[in-house]
Amino acid sequence: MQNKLVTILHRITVALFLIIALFPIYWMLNTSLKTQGEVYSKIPTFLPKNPTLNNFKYLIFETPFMNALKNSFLVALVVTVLSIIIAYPTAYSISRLKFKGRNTFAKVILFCYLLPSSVLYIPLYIFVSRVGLSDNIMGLMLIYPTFTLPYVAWILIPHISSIPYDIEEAALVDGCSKFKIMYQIIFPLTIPGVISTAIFAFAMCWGEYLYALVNITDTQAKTFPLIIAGLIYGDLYPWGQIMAGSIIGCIPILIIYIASSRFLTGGATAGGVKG
Amino acid sequence: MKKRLVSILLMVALLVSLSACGGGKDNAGQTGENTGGSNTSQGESKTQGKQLTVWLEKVFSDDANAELQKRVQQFADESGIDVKFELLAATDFVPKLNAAIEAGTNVPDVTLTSGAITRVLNYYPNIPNLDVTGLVDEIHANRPYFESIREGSKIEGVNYFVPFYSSSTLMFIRKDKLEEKGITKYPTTWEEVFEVAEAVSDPKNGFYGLGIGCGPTDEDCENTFRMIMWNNGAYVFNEDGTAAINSEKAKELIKKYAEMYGKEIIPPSASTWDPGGNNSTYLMGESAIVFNAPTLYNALKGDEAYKEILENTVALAPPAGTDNSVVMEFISGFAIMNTCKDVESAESFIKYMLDAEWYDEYFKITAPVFAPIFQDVENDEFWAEGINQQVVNYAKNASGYYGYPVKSIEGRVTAAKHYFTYPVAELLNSVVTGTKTVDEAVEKMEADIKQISSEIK
Repeated sequence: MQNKLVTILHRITVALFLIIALFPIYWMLNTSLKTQGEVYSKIPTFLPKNPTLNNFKYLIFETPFMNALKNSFLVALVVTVLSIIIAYPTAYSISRLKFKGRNTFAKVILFCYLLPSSVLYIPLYIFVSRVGLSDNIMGLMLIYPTFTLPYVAWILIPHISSIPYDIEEAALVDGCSKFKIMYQIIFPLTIPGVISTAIFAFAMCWGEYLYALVNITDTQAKTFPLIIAGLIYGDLYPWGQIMAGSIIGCIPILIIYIASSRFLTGGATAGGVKG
Repeated sequence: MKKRLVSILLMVALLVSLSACGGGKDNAGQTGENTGGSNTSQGESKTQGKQLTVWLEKVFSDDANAELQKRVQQFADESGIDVKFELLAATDFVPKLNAAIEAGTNVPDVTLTSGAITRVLNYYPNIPNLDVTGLVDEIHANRPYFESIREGSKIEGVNYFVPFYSSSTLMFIRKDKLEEKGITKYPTTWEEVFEVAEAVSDPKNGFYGLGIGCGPTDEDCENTFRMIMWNNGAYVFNEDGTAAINSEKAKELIKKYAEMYGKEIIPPSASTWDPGGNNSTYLMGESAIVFNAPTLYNALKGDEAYKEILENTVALAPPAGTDNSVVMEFISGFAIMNTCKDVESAESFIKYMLDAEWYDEYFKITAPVFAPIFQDVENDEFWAEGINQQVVNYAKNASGYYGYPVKSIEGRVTAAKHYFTYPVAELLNSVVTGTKTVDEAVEKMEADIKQISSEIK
């Protein structure tokens, strides 16, 4: 009887937290389906009185939103892949190799990650302009690694460290080279970590605003956060359209998360070595 | 394995190179719809290679933006100048322009921005705009500007932008709510506004008399309360540029606001508002009197849901105070950046945008949000009555600016830089939320002004 009560309490608690977590998403969807008049009504409505898809229609057919989504996707994908390619060996080296200044190097990575974008945006804009990539999504592909690389490397370090060293030793005994160990033995075991880090890196690039704002002027090269921000003309915010854009913007991240969730199972190395 | 890895890396490099080749945006013609003049025939003067980059601040309606875009395109087609132009949201404009100026690359040749004078002052002493006094004089000789606009757009006698239009702050009143209380005369002074607001307030039923916010970033509060202060003889700055906020009159007005907030004549949520707060409160039917740009009127007109509120709304000029009726000017204009290589083309472009025939038609589209700023529009029937007349009158009479009545250039610069922190809104917020007493809040503002002033010197 007591167990049953505990289970019910657990479920109620989980349901409560779920409601709290999902409420903003629900409210976004709810707002995106309302008219401007209903959005500004005195008593907020939990369901749209006259649901309308006009906000989505406006966004999709009367703004370059879809092109901007494509730009965002391309930038986020390329930057994420590049970040993983570069950050993995970095993280592996810091985690596994013993060299002078290893700890300092690790701290520098964290320091780079903590640098606020408001400090970096003008120097990076100058850099991108000098290499002739301003007003071009290639410029963003050059800038975004400044925050994704340290992040990916910093998160991968503990993932790699958590893999028992005995596995590497066994591979070395079997004649495996360091390079092969890094990519053929350890990399497959860090896949859950790599995937989860990649998702976050992708999301960081996907929703990035400040660098894109400063670097991109051409409508055809804009990423989707710029199009959403551009919906605001003055002090009357078109919340329906803004929320419609945000809802559409959530979808790719959601799909990526769902598609990759089966790779996120941990414990691949459990039982890999004898106690 | 090594070969496979090397192949993958090479593939990635190839893909990146390919997309780089396809993604360039610097060449004219690759910017699609935003490159004016790309449709001109090869035989036209476009081949002379003249180029102009223009950044225009988006205005409040899609129709008006489309018309602006069409006009730029028309200029490009007729002149043969390759015009690369972008419509940018107001919030995006400053960071983009600052980054471009700082980097010294991709600076547009011509810009059109709101709050032009404050923005120019904010760059002082390194003003990145060209002196366009000659051009303004020429335009004025052909079609005289309102004196308020001509004088109000100068900094030490120099024009750094060509005035294009004016925005305004009007008083929106729910006449039905006033009538319910037997009030048939609309308030004409701030004192009357406060009295009427108190009379119509019904906080128990969620209705409030006065929708002036005090969120720390509420720009509308910043502007409205400055006008309340000026009109009643209280100022943030003295004429010599020193702080004037620590005065009995200023403190009295701050106390009055706090008192109204405490009595719930002002909505309790006002301390969390951003500049959209006063719009929302009026659209929700929650407040009887608000002060806002006529965008609010457009919002009321644009949605069937607000039909009742619109029918019961009257838009009037802001009230006067015991001392004067000075209102804040909001002039927008075209600037030519000092990096512009073809000033002649830039000037032709600006003149083209101010051509009377197109200009007059364009501002009928944007009415009543923006008002034309030439003396002869007063003869136009379109601007002769209702809210349209109000906005033209506003443009004609506006003489206030951030720092008013400060005279010195250092004082004006201090005031412009000070304004960007929304100090008055922050002051009111700290008082109504109990974070600071009136004396403490006023002293803090005084210290902030001294700090900014010392940085300029």
